[in-house]
Amino acid sequence: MNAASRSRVLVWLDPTAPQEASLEVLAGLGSASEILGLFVEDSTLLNLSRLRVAREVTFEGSTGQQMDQRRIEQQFRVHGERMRTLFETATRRISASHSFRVARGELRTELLSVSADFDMLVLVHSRHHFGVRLNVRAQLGDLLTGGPRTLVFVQEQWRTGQRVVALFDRSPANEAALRTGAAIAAAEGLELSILLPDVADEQRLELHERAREILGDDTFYSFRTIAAGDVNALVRAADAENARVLVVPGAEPTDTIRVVTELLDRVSCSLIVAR
Amino acid sequence: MTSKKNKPHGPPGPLHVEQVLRRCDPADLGFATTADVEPLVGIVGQSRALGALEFGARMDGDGFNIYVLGTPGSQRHEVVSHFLEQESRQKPQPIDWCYVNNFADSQKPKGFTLTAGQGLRLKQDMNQLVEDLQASIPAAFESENYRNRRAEIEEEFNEQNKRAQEEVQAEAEKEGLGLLSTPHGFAIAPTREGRPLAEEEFMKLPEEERKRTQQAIERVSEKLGKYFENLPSFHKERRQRIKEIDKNVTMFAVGSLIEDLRVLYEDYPSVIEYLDAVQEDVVAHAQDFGVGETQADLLPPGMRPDPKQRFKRYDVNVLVNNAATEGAPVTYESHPTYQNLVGRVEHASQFGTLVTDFTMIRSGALHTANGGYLILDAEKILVQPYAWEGLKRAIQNREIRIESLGQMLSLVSTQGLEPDAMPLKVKIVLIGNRFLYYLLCQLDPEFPQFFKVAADFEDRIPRSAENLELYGRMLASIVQKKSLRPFDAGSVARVIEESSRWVGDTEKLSASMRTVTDLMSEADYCAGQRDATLVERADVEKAIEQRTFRLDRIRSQLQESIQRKTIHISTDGEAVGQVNGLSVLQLGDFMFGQPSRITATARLGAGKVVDIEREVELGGAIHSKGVLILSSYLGSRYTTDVPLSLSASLVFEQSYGQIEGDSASVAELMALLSAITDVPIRQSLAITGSVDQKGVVQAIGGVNQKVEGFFDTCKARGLSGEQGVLIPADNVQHLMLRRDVAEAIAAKQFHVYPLTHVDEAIALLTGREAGERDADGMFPRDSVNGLAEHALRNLASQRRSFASGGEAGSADDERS
Repeated sequence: MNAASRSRVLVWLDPTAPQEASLEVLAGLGSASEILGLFVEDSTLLNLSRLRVAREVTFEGSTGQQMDQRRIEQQFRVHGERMRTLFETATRRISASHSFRVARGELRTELLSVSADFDMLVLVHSRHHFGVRLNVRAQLGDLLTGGPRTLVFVQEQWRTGQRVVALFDRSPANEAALRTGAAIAAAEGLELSILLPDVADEQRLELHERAREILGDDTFYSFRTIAAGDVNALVRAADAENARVLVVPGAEPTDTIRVVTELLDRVSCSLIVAR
Repeated sequence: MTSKKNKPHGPPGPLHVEQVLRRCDPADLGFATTADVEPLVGIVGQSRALGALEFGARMDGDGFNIYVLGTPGSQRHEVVSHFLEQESRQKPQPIDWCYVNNFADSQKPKGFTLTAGQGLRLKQDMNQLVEDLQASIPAAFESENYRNRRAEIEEEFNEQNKRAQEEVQAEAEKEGLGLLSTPHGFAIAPTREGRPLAEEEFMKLPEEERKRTQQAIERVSEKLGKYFENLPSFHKERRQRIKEIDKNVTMFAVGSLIEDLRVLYEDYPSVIEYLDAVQEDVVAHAQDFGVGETQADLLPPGMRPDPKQRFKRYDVNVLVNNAATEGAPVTYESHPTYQNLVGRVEHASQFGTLVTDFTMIRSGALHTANGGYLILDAEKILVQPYAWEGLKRAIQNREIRIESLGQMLSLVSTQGLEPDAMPLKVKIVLIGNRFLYYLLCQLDPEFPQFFKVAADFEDRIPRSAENLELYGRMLASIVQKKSLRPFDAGSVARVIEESSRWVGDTEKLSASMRTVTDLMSEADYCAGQRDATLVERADVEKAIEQRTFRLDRIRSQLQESIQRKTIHISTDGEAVGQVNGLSVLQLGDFMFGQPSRITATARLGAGKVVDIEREVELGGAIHSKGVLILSSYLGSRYTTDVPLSLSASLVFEQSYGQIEGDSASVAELMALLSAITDVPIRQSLAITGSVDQKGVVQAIGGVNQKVEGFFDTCKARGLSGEQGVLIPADNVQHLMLRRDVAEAIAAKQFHVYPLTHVDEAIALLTGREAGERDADGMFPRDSVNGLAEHALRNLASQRRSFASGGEAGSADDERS
């Protein structure tokens, strides 16, 4: 992944979401200089387990079970080990140096403080809000202002699409988005589809030429024109192109938060915000 | 007592050279060289065998398989193959046989028949179908229509799920509770400003509120539990609806492609049935065609199977492909193991485990010969474990069932393939020797039931004028086949003479083409040594000489021992109770004769002739029979009215090996009579022949080698003109003596005398009259028979005296 060349990558490992998809992304990070797998033991949950009135309902159907701090601690250890194994198995195929860390603290704080030092953040995004301890959408503002340059929101449907779709508009981060999209397409052996905004012909031609310059002759790609600044058009294009990954440039934070939040809710493919 | 009626037996005259070697006149052959004659296609003098072959090959009933009897080298394989190939052209082209996957039970592959050439076509069509499906199925799943329908279902279910979650969430929020995911589920706790309360904060709440909170937690827990409980069936319904759409989409993609094949193969109900099963399977395994993930995709890269293997189950294993077969197949299986006959199921190693499937079923000779003829060597099939049993079972059940030996013998319990059995209609032709045929008839009760036709190849064929011409043409065909130099008529004539010698019969020729071919090849080599372009008589002579020389070491050593008198054989003078017998030794393919000194002693006794060879277990049963006949002969000829009171011993001097056969019985009788009468025997003569109780001399085997054995001994010492061999007159027709022996006979340096009765042998060997009974029933007193009778009567008289305790009398006293 060119965008990640010589970059530091943070992989946020959350045992409540399927991690295989996020770890799959690591295959495309061949030239990353450093990869850190981070598993955070949620202190909020630990505090909750001390509250005698709190109850736990498990997926297996046990209801009204009293929280037990020792059990939660034990579960953290087990999940931490599992995350380590998964991470190390995935990173074994990558030449970059990698490490795994277990931290304890409040999830939001840990995410923002640790990711600030990295160029890329990879995390699994869950579309439902039900009982979510870390609401990624709520952290978007902080991540887009002080966080890594590239945010990778991996959806469970990572492997099902057939194309990488990159938005190449007139925003300042458009080239970063295009390069990132091209790198993933090359690494995954997928076709690259470039979305151009429906602007004046002259401007579109200019974008067209610029994209050609950036990608060179060795990359196979196609163009598609969509309504400029229209999230619906982006969703439809991603769907029509059967996208596996949608790459959008991270523009001005307020605007980006709105677009990304909507995209995370509506597209089934994974989403990359490149700045 | 026959002597009164018989004519007197005087000494017979020696045979002429024409009687000891029947030459073949090159002029009778009708050609100058083999290049002038049309090579013979077929075989000479085997009409009986060919008739049986024709009958067997055309007879359709059960068990009319053929056993071809004959000696090795008699061209049975060539003749049978040639004949069956001719026959097969009249027969219809056989069917193809294919195995395909049984989608209901992959352990039991389905088999079906197709007309010749259609098996391969079906295989190609199925490969093309799989290739087409790999494009059409993903295309159908990528269509806008499919994705929209699927998205609708996903959306519908997501919405339902979301509503259920929101209900729980709303209930919790209404009660001032928060939901937080834990590694194993969800925690429910009271919150304030979106943050869970600490224990201390909760305890500060009024008791009533704490109680109310606890009750609310119970309610929300129950609601959440119910939500979890419904999740599996909720997801199941979602999956089923998606599966239903997937099925419809796959059916749409598959249907038209398979329909095309149904039209192509509408005449084959089995294929139509198979195509239905294929369609069902493809629909159930759409993911294999690039739609979504398969189980294999989830395996680590090194463990993922070859993508081609995914579609192996749609392959067609054309076990028997008769596309290129013209007429019925004629198959010869040179290595008839059980598996080479009935086929086998191969296995491949996969991650340390042996796996197999219907594509690894391999045909056996019965499959490839089905509808035609299968030629097998009887000896070979009988020494292969269970091959004979397997063959008989296939014939009996009229089907080929592929089972491993382990399965057949119930030795393995691991799961293996059980392919459908293939219907069998084949004519088996077993080629073997006679001994084996008779042994099988005797020991295997099923054999006559399964092999009802015997095609018996002659070992020797008549040396008639007609056959001579055909034989010459057959030799010409050998010249052509083996690319030898042409043979001139003289050399062909010499081969024919040698052929007669091999079978030891002037009236027959050898049917062993292998031996003939070998001799001709060797003669061709000799011609090549002298840079000749034509093989001549001298080349054949040389080849025979060299062949004899190569095998002659033992014979030479024995002759040397005789010359150096390590082995005592007299070739001149006279001796009492001693005669030159003749024996034959066979070492591999080489047979030669040698003289043996037979001696006898006689004394008073109880009428028993002791065979010393038998006593020391060096004599065989037939030899003993010959000796016992001698006692009977002596008794019946000389002592009909008194007991035979003789004790005699017979021995082959300096013989240390087994003696078998009765061909020395005349010689033994001569030695015995000499011992009884004290009449000496000429040592310049040797004698061979068996004798019956009446004194009639009977034919023996190996006459040529026996005569030549004594000739060699005499020649080494110098031929005196007195030496010769006495042979049964019935063996004269078998005489094909070596050139040098024949030349000596022509020069009267060596003689061969034909015998019909022992009296002739007596006359020749003793030089005295044998003697015939006169009108009074008395032998002339000085004749050998008279002396013998007198001596034996004397012995009887002595024995009687001994028995009564008186003095010994004489026969003369008794008679007077």
